Amino acid sequence: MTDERTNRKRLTLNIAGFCVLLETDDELVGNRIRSRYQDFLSTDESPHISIEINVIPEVLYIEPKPGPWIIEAEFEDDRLTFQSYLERGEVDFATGRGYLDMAPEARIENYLRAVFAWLCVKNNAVLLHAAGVIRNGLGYVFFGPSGAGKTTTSRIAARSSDVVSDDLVVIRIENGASILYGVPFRGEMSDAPRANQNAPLQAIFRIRQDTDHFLEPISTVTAVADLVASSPFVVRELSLTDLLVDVCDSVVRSVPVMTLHFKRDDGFWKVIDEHFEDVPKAASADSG
Amino acid sequence: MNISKMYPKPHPQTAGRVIDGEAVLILADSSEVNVLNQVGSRIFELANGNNSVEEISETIAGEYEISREQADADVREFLLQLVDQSVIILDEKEEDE
Repeated sequence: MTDERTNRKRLTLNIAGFCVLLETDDELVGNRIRSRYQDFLSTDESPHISIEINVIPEVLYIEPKPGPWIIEAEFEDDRLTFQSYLERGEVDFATGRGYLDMAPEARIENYLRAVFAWLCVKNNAVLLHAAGVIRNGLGYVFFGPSGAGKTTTSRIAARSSDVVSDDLVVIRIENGASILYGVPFRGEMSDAPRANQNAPLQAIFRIRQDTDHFLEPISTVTAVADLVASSPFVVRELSLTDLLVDVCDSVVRSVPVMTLHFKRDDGFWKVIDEHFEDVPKAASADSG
Repeated sequence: MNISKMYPKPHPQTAGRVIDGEAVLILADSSEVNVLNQVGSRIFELANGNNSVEEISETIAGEYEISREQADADVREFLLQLVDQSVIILDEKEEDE
C-alpha cells in the first residue's frame, strides 16, 4: 500500500501469523520488498512490530574482510540491535517499533530473520534452520548442520511434494499441536519457492547422509537439544533460552523426531511412509 | 589443584535445563548445545553455588551407591572438564542466599 499524501510505502509481512509492518519513503526499496516477499504480504493493520526503513546512500557499517559473513544481532531487555555490512537497526519489542538504516543496495532479509526469530520464541513458536516440505497435506521438517543435506533433501523432495523452504521454517504450537509454516527466506537452493503454506507437522528428521535409507530413534532430550541448537539468533541469548527450550520441548512431545539416514535418491519417502503406516497398526494391535 | 572446598556454579554465559533427568546445556558464547548423561546432569544440578565439591561428591556417593573415594575422583574430573568447557566456574565462597 502507498500513502498517497506522503508517497510512503507501507508493506505488512505476515509470516506464520506474525505481522511486521515495513515503512519506507524509498520507492525502489519498497518495490524490491514487495516483489521479494509478495506471497507473504498482508492487509493486516495491527502488526506486532512496525519498522521504519531509512535508505542512506554510500553507507558502510562494517568494513568487509575475508572470512564468514558478519551479522551482529544482540537481544537485551526486549531490544534487538542488529548490524551487518550495509544495514544497521534496532527493534524495541516492548513498544513494537524499530528502524533499519541501510544502503540502497542492502537486503533486509537477515534483519527480518532476527526479528522473526524473536517474535517466534516469544509466541510459542520457533524459527528453525531446516528444510520444510508439505506432502499429502502433512508437514515434514529436515534439519542438520550445514552440509548435512537440507538442500539435497529439498531438491529430491520437490519431485513429489511442496518445498516450503530449503533453509528456514517456522514451527508453531497451536492447541498443543505443531504446525509447519513456510517462510520467505531461502538458502542455497536459488530456485526454491517461497511458499506461504502451512500444514500439521507429521515428523521432524535430523538428516545424515549414508549408504542406505533408514530411521533411527532419538531420545527426547537429544531432540530438544538439537532443535535448540538449530534456532538461529535466539540460541545465543540467555534471557530467551528458557522460552526456547520450552517451545522445543513442546514440539518434540507433539511429533516424532528421528534421525533419517539417507542416500541421494527419493527412497527415503518409502522408509518414512512405512514407518507411519506401521504406527497406527501398532497402536491398534496394542488396544486390541 | 585442590578444589574440594570450592563452590561450582554455572558459567554466566551458560544456561542449563534438566529434561527427563538429563541436562541440556546451552553455551551462549559459542552457540553450542550439549546433553549430559544422568549422573553428569545430577552433578550439574548440584553445582549451583550452594554446594562445595566435597559436598557434591558425598551426595553422589550416597545416591549412586559408590565409594566416597570413587565419587571424589569422578566428580572432580567431571567438574574440571566442565570448567574447561566454560560450562561452570569455581567460586571460593558459597553463593549468597
